[in-house]
Amino acid sequence: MDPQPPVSGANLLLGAASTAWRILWRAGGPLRRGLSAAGGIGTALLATAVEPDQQAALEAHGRTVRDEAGRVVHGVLRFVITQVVAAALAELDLTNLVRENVDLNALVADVDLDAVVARVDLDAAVARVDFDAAVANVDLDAAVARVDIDAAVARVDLDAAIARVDLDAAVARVDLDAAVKRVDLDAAVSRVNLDAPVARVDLDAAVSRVDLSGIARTVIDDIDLPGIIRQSTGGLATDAVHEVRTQGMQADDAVAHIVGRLLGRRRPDAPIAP
Amino acid sequence: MTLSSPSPAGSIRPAGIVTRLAAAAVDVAVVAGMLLVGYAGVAGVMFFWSPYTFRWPTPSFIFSLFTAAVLATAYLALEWATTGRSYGTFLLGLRVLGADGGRLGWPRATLRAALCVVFPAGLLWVAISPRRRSIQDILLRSIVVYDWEGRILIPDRRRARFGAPLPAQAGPSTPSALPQPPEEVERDQ
Repeated sequence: MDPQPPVSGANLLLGAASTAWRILWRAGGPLRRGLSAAGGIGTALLATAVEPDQQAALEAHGRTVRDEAGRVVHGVLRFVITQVVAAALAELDLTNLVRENVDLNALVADVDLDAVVARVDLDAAVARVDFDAAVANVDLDAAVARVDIDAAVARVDLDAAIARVDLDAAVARVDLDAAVKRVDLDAAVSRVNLDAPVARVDLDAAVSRVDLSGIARTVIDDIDLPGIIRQSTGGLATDAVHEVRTQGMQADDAVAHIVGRLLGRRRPDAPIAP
Repeated sequence: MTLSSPSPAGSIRPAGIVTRLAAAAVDVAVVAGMLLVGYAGVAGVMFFWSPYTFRWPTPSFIFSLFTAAVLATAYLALEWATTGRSYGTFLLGLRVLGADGGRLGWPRATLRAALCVVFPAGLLWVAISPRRRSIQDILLRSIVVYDWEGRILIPDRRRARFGAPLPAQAGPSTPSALPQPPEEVERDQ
């Protein structure tokens, strides 16, 4: 013989309840039919006893009552369901349930993201972004500090970039005069080591190309050398003659003075000629 | 007395012993130079005349002295009779004039030159003479005056009077009005 399975209390109660309900439902069959017949009879009596216009009023009133009853039942059910769902949600960890039971990857794989993105109004989305605030929050210093500028520059084809630049137009817009005015040329030149470039200059070759004799001829032609010599020597001679004459006249007077005193003259000076 | 004003306005000052001795020394040097040039000229002529037999001329002392005296007399007479100033007097700013302020004239210039050559010691009397006149000046009535600007010579004797205003002597001598070469002085006879 097969061993008896263990008896479940709950199943036993459920089976008993279901059997009892079925018995009651079958036993209530005549009652339900009687009630239905009574309803039909009542309806027929009312239809015969009551005037047609009163029937219509009664029928409208009945419909109203039924509608209100439906609304009451509907409200009660809504309240009950809301409370039940809230209690259930409070008890259940839906996120965890979804994470454990739903294959999200499979779901996402089935989603047509392109179509979704196509429906997104990116312009409007971007228009709502406050870029200033976003940039204000960015620590640019830290970001730049992490950038390997050397590597970035090494990847840049500077030749190609410069080839595309219209340097003539750029330079034409530059105010070179103002720029040069700001340059301290004296300080710049003072830092230049002129000795080195001058040491590389072949001065002998440069001088050999100069027409020194022609320059000398031009200079001599422009200078009135004989006139200068005449003036200078003449000036010297004039000064010397003047000095000799002055000294001689003073000596004349000195001698006359001495002789006059020796001879006891009152007026040692030479008189004016008669 | 104003030393810087050799020719006060309206008057002429006679030159003293120092300047006149200096002028005489210059003239002696000039005559010596002329003698040398003359000697070289004579020797050159002799050389070209007979190069093979050429010898330096050896004149006697007497001949040389005589030649020098003649040359000096001629030189001084020529200068004093024409411009009134030899090279020595020109250099010292002097001029030889007659006592009346005009030129000496040929006779007096020649006589004065000869007297100066024969008796040069007569010049020393200038130091003693109150009017600064040498023996030659006293004998020939001449005078030697300061004339730095070389403008005292007055051709017309009738206009020359000492003490009278002379247009060219209106002010003191200045370096810009220094003497002109003798060639530029008026030479009209």
